Amino acid sequence: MAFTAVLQSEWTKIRTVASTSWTLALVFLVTVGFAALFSATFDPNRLDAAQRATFDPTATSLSSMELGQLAMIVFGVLVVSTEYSTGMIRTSLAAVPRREHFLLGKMAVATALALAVGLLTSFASFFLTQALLGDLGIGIGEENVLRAVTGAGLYLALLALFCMGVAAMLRSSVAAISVLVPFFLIVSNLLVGFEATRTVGQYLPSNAGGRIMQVVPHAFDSPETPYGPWGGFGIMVLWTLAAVLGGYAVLRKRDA
Amino acid sequence: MIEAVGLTKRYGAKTAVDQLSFQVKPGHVTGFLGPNGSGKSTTMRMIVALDRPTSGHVTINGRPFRELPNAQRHVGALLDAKAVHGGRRARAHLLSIAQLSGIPEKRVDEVLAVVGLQDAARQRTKGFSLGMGQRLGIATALLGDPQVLLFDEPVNGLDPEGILWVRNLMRRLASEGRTVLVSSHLMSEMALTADHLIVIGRGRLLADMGTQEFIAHNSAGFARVRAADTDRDGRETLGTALTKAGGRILQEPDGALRVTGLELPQISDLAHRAGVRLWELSPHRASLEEAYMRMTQSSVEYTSTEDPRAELWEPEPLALPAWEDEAEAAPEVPRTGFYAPPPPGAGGQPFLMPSNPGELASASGNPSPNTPEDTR
Amino acid sequence: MTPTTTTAEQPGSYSSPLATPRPHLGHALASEWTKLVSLRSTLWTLGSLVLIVVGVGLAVVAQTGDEDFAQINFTTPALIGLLVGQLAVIVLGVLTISSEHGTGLVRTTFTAAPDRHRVLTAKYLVFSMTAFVTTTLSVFVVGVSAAVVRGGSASGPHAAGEWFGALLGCGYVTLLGVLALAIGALVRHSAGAIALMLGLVTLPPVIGGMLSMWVAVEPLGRLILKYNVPVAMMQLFGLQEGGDLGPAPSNFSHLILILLVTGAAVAGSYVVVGRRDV
Repeated sequence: MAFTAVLQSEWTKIRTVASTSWTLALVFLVTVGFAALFSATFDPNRLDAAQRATFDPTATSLSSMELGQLAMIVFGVLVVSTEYSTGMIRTSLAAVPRREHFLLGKMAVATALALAVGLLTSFASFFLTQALLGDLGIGIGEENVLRAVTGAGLYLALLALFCMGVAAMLRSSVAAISVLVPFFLIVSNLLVGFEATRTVGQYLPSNAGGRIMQVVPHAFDSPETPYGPWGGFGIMVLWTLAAVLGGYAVLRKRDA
Repeated sequence: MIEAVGLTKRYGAKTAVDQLSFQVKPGHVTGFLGPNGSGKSTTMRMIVALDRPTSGHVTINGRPFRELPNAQRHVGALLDAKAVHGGRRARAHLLSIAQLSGIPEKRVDEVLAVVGLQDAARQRTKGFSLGMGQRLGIATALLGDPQVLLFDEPVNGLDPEGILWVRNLMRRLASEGRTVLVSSHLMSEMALTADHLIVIGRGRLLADMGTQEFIAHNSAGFARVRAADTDRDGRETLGTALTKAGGRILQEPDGALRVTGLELPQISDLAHRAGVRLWELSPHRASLEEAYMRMTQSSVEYTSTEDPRAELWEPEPLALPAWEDEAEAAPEVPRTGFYAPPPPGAGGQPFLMPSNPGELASASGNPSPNTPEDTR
Repeated sequence: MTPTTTTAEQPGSYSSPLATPRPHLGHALASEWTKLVSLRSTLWTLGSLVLIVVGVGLAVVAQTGDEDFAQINFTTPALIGLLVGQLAVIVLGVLTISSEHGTGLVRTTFTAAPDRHRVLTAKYLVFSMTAFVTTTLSVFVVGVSAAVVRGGSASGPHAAGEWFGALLGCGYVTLLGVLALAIGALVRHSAGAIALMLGLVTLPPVIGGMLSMWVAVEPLGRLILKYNVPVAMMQLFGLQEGGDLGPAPSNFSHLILILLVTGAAVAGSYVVVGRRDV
């Protein structure tokens, strides 16, 4: 079967499932909503000197990505795991016997969708909050700003793909969500929170990948990293690649 | 005894069950028939209070289901064979359900033996086939040794032997004085199992009567007569004689005649007087399936359009014999029990194959609910 | 309604040799216990809870010396693991009911036991007892190990209050699990309910963290920082407002808050489960 047919079929599947629109709408609403809330309640007079020196308006726009990513994790997991929970996987693999085509097609379509929503979210978030910040706001043309805002969209897409890989490995939405949410929202933050564990923690996907969203290094007292924005992003790409390969290995080995 | 009065269920603008009233009496197997989406399952779910009726009510032995002192000991139900947690072993599943009503643990092993799942008792139900799932569901229904039993499509996914087993089980349960309500879409199976039928379409009651009565009311039987091939004029002579005597005749493609309006002995006498030798004189009783299709055709929820490929295949039309100048459209009547007639007006072809091999097994022979002990 | 005759008295009807006890809560408790112990997800969730709490706790005990326990409680090493391990309790709480909905088992259950509140009560009781006992045992294994191994004279005086605080902390985690069960009953979708609960536990500190970085926090932000799950657990385990560790829970209002929230959700679950078509 032609790969384009697989893509088409996966696009139909993803667009006709209610959880897709729910989770992606939440990504957008939570991220943009909280960014707006933060900027609207922002009071620059209460920053201290060091914070004022490293103030990063872009980060203000993108900080709520941390919250919106929860919905993106759920999206990535459900895209893959509903195939298993509904038994759809057997129908799918009967129609597309080449399992790498099936997995690649599904991941390509879902990642493209996540990228579109991610970029929409990051740009909407940026423009809205910069308008709300008034005098403190900056334009998209400033140094590194475009990279950071685009990077936020890329980060969300990559996050979704990573979660799809893990879901393909675990084959259960409950297991995948129970592993991924604590991993991204607790373990990552916990490990960079302590000096002793930071050397390890900074290489975790969300911490490394999140570096691309920073325009001003050390803004808001963020720690120094041994990698640059794209270096960090590269680390996250490696993580994602590993997850996808792991997912593929499981799909190929096990009975559907 | 199950008694429904004015049972109605609406989902938004859609009425799934509409003013349904019926009684299911003990001592019989009552078949519950209707096309897909006609409201059978919704009705059964309302009987056991899983769904709340929009209006009307249903009682079991005079009480609403939720007011039964120990529901499981009064009512057992198989509504959905997949209504189990796949990660649990079969025996643990049954045990947890039994414990809810204080049913002793040894009863669990009993019902496992009744449905033949002893060897699968320690298996996780995730790995069960559809047939094993049905057996587990039946075991669940039997746990409380209840007086009233509901089975929604119990033979789904069972092999011919399993179907036979379910049929005998239903009849045995009813003969013990229990109330047994079974829904199925396998008509030939219903004809063999049910004594009484409740037929619904689009949520409304279409019929509530004995199986034989239902068939008689909703279809016409005929006799098949075949003159000896060696006698060239025999068929002509016979046809004329039968027509004169008031019979109505249609010719089948292979030369046999379908006769309605005359009793078998009359046909035999007429043939004898006309000097025609007969090779076949057989009664054809209409099948339940035929009667059912006639009754429910207008209330089918999901009608199929023809797969265009079917047009490549031309059925041989029933010919009107020369002496029959009445140019009336010949109603197609199935040749044997499992040939479903097409909905009139659709002009379709008869289905050539039964949808389930089980039908073949049980329908070869004339469907009669009184067929004594089927051999295993 | 006229007095009903029992089925056995009706002519021509079947009567069964089985006894017909009136079902009570005890029956439902036995059933729920069977359900709980017969699933691997129970083993996975409770197993990871014990592993994380005891594993992290003992690792911390091994890395510290007697003198460190002059500043911290013996139960503090268990707290670190419990901050992550509580998520396992939440997942088990949701699954206790949502897996029945997901698989359709709930229809079998409610057909066998139409008094749904009895089943729901049994679920709450069996789950909360199991969660509380497992959590408490894990925490106290770590606490007692710390007290035995690091209880030398350098560790200074320790009061009974810190054990009491740890017990309250375990109760708090159990109540979170009960809340998760109630949310599972209301939402019915495993993944959705788990994501919701994990978000509720993990996101407020993140939101609070962001707000605190900007100093310019709204009163709402301050409130979030003060009343969220990790802070509640730390304070029940003895962390004081100022950041030091004290011998007793510093803020009981967390317990009142979780009792109110969980109570409301549980009440809602009774109303909804009793009325809903399943």
